Amino acid sequence: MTLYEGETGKSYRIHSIVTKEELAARLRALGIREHATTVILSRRKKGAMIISIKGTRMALGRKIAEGIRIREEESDDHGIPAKETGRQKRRNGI
Amino acid sequence: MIMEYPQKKRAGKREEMAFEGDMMPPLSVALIGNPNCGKTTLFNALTGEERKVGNWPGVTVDCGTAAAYFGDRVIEFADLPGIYSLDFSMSEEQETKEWIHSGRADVAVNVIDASVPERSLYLTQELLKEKIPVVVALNRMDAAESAGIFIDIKKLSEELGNIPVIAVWPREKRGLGELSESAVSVSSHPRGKNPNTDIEDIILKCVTRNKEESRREKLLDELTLHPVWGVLFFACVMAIVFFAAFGAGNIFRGLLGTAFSGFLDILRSGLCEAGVYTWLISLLIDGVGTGVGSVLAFIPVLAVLFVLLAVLEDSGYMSRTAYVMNGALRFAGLSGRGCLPLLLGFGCTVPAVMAARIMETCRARRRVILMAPYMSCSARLPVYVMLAGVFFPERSAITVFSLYMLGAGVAAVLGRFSSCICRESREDWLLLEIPPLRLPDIRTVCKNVRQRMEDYIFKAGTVIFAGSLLLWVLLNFGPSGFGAEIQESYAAVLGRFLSPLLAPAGLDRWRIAAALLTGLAAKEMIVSGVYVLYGTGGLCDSRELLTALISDGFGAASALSMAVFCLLYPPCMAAMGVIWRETHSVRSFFSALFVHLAVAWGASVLVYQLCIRF
Repeated sequence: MTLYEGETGKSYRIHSIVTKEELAARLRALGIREHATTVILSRRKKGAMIISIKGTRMALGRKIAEGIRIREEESDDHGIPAKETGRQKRRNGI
Repeated sequence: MIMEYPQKKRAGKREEMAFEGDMMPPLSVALIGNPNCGKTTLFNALTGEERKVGNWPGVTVDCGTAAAYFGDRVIEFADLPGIYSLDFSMSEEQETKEWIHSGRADVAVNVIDASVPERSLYLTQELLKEKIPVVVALNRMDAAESAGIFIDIKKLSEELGNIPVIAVWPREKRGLGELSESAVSVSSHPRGKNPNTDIEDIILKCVTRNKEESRREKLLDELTLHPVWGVLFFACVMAIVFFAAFGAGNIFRGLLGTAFSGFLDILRSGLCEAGVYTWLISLLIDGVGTGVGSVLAFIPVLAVLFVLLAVLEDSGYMSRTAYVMNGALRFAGLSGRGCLPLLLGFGCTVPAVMAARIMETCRARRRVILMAPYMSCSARLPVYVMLAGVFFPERSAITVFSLYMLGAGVAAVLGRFSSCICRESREDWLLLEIPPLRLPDIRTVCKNVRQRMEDYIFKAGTVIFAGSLLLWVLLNFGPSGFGAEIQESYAAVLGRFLSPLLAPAGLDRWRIAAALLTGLAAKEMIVSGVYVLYGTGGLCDSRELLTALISDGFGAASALSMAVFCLLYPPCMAAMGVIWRETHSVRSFFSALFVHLAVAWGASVLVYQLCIRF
């Protein structure tokens, strides 16, 4: 799935970045790279979203969010579902 | 060695400084880092300069240089626009790349925001691949510590190939001498061999985190970035800024205006008693005194506006507005980034046009440059306050507020129109870092306000002074020579020539046409022009001015039409000059001029005709 399809409050791992090479390089420089964990903090209907990644918050437009492929974080060893883990992580400011 | 601060030496003197005595040639040191990592704050601390700082990415859009002595060595520091990577760049970042690649800089000081080490190290890695010697300056250590981030400086230096890593506190001027010393030392002995290229690994080895995000920060984030509450919060902030500037500032304006006209009266009687020539008294009191005084009386209104804008800029809220307004700006074919220069436009059009460099594409940049002058600048505020105070004293605040909204609305429609002409897809490419909210630094706010106030007062002392002199000459000289009746003066001739064009807008009074013409030099001139042309000495006496205007056949409908014309017609000469410089295009410049004139004329005619019919 793409980052645009992600849900607010959930934690995801970036799988790949499928967009123009120049933009992909820019995203990587901003810390939006493959294997990085990100949390969607806020989003506007059919619009931009705010993600937390590597200790910073980034505002991303829809077109950019659609170019970032993500996977949901696996549930942890204690059996807490991924949704809970996402909220927990957000609370911890990751 | 002792580093003396502040040492103000302009870069232009580099040559002569270099060859004084047995000095070594100046060392060129470029400050390079991500946007909003505190480069300009560090630059100001190192050189004693006063470049503008703020808490949002993209404050610095041009390169600034200044030199300082370090012992007997001259170091020329360059403050470059922020950059995320050397591989690619947007318009304002090109200059930074050139500095590094062309070898203009002898040493690169990589400024790192210690509160976001992961992201900052990407650029460090790229710099280490270049030939240039690198020193790392760890900035914002206090912010990092309060966020629970601790960096092992010695270990970080080792991981980066033993390059110097220096912690700096620019506001307290700590660590600056050490930084300069390291820059001098690496210039002769470059280091940075075999650095660790795995950023995750470096972070794991050098950074420890032990704090959760505070509840207050989380709550503020949720409020300011919420899809619904965020927009309401933004609307409230803007309303507070506007009504505080208008309400609180206006009270003090009355007091200052009364005091100033009292002073002019005393001066006039003093000069009369001293037997000074009548024409000189007329020049000093009616020309310069009234002209400059009417502009200076607005200092309190603008002081309040500038304080609030500075607080917004330093708190980190500006970037959030870009996100909140992203949807609305897409209507005008811009991404949310456009919100930053446009908001600056409420202060002054000149920095707003400059800030358009932060836009992603050339087209978006030109569109922002077209739209920025419609964000009613602080110099136009005195005109609205004067007209609304005279004709709509009961509803002056709402009248002025509507004018601001009209300006923003016209800008949005023009943006939309221009994006339709260019047949651009309105896809959403917003990409912007959102800095954490913080309490504004009182010193930064004071400095910011002081600079803007100085600019305003300087303008009153130069452009307005010269404009008032010119206006006095035009009023007192006519084809028949000095002492001509005011109706026969050059100003009247010029005004009469222009007034038929303004007749459909209800502005066919030569005095009004002449005042609007002087507004092309500076918008405040319209106020001083009206006071001087209608010969009212009392700078704040609305009744006196109202009587003079009414007797000239200038009613409420004309006043509204004039306010709209003043809002929409071409910005002042300084702003037009910057538009010319920033677009580098004769076509853009003249099309902007034409659009401004046409829109202003059309809108004021519409307003006037509607007013007299309904």
